[in-house]
Amino acid sequence: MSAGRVSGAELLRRALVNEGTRVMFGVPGGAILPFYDVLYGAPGPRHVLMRHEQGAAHAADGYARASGEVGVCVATSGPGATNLVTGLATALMDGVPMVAVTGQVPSNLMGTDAFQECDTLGITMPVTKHGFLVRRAEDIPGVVAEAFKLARSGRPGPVLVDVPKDVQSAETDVPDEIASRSPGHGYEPILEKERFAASFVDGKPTTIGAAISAAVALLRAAERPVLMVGRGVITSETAEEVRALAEAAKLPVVTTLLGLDAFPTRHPQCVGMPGMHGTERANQAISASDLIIGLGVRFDDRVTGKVSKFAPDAGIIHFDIDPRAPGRTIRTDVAVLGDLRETLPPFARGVSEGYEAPAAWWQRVHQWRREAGEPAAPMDGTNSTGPLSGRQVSRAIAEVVRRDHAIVVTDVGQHQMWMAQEVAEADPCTHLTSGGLGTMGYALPAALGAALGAPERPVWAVIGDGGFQMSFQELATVVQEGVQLRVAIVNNGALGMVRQWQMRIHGGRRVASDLGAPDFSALANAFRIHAEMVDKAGELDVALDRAATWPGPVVLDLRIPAEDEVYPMVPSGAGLSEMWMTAPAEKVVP
Amino acid sequence: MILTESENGVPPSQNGPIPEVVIILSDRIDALERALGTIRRRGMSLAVFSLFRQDDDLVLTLRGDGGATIPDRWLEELVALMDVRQVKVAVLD
Repeated sequence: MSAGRVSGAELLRRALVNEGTRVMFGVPGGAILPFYDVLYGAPGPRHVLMRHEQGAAHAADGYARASGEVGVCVATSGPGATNLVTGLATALMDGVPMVAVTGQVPSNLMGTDAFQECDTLGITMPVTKHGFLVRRAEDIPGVVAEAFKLARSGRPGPVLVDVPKDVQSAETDVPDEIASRSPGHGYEPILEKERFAASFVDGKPTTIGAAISAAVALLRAAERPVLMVGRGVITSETAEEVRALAEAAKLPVVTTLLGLDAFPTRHPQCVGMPGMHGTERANQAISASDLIIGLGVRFDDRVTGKVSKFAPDAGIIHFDIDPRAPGRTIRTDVAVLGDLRETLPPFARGVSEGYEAPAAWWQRVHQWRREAGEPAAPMDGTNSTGPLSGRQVSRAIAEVVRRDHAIVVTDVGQHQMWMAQEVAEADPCTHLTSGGLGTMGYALPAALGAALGAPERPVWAVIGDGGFQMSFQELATVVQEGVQLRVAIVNNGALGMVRQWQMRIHGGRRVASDLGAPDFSALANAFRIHAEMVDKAGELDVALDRAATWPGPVVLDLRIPAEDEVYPMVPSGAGLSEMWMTAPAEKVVP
Repeated sequence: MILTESENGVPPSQNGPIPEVVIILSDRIDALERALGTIRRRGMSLAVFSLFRQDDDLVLTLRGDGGATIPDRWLEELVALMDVRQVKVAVLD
């Protein structure tokens, strides 16, 4: 029994609506035109026309991170699909739920090297959780349901649905109910399957309950514990529970780059971000610890530094939903595999019965705090006519973001690290960045997506001049959609982090890191966007306040010296305790 | 579902002297491609030993060099693939 006949494209639209899709980001083209055709006059989803498919993928990513919903992007076949790849890889690395819908050439042309044909499914396999090539229109509702289920389940990630043009155009019966009707056997989230080596203790597989008991026992015996908080806490929506655990057990807390909004950075127990550009006290605490409890973290190489020198005296407890994570980079003593919503409460109950981190440990942590003091003073910060510095800019933006309960989306490079060091009291889902893949050009389109995903919050995009030049075409989309985005370009005329590495690690031999740049204010004006250039320390706060209240999008061109560098820094191949607090004099090359 | 014919009482970073890994998956080229791509991408030191159809499924058997190890987490990744129905691991003498 059916409720009439419609095209595959209309079924696709209805299936997206059925999954709760409110907004999708895309660029049309020949092979996806039947789908765009059914959007004409349709009640939803709202389509946002981006200026590049990579921007569409990043916008869907930003939308998902800010809203907690599945982000949706749309592209045509061939170059439209290949342009999505960087955005899909970005989402996969950071565990962001997305569904990408791509048009494909008609079925009878597939394999003929047709115009705008490529092997979309094959190209995207390594950067998606799964991909579907839909062969029959009647399969569309089930495939879309399966794709959303996959994107949301376990460790979230991107899923691709490739639909040939003739399948979009074919008429088929409307099912009475859009349910999961996968042409395959149906996906079961991995944690529901019989386990090969689920949780483990000392390498031996065990039940989740036994692993939690072992974790509790380890913590109760610990004299120098550290709680490490990552994006898994955001995904599982357990930030409050983590805070309660930390406070009950008086645990020092470090927050990874993607966990900066999972625990209040100004909380007295927060010792900051660990890793390559982490705080001294966070890296010292980890290095001296006898127990690290990782919650939804990946222990990636930017956090651990040289693995053999990472927390050399510490046991490792790793809570994660992803069975691939424990032991991937560091030896793990106890792995608790599951959703933090289920595994954290029994752990917290076990810990809270009388355990507190020893006072002697806190004395050492406080000592590092005192020794480290406040982050280095901004360059020439007391001279109002002096130049801006990266840290001054970041500190000022972070303060405006905190004051206005805004979302900040950072790109990749020096400004990303400065902002991470300065972020202040961020609510969950308000500090967005490409942490795993490190994708330049992410921030502007992702900020646009975040603004549509969380319209109740102001949104700032903080971008280097290099990343901005990879993405500024999306300013047209910002204007088109009437989004009140604040864009701060931290402009040092260089690929700053590359320059810093060349200066400090490659003997000062700068190659291809000095950028020429257009007049960004004039460029913004060409998009009919208000813009200001600031190059004096004393003008910064006024400009930021004006941008925060400007009735429309704003671009700020914030000029900082190319010589400004990010510290602390753990040089590649060194341990966390071997960080440089300032530029090492012997490596400075004029 | 994963069936193991060996006792999995070893550190999760090792499975002992390797093994034979049998993957039962949907009879589709893209399912096979994704399984093989996962093996390649994760650097599992396995070579294809045999591939045949069994009822409606494909049975892909891989073997590693003697003494090679495969982290359990990569086997978990194979299990997580949507088209993989079963992974069996055995240690060959």
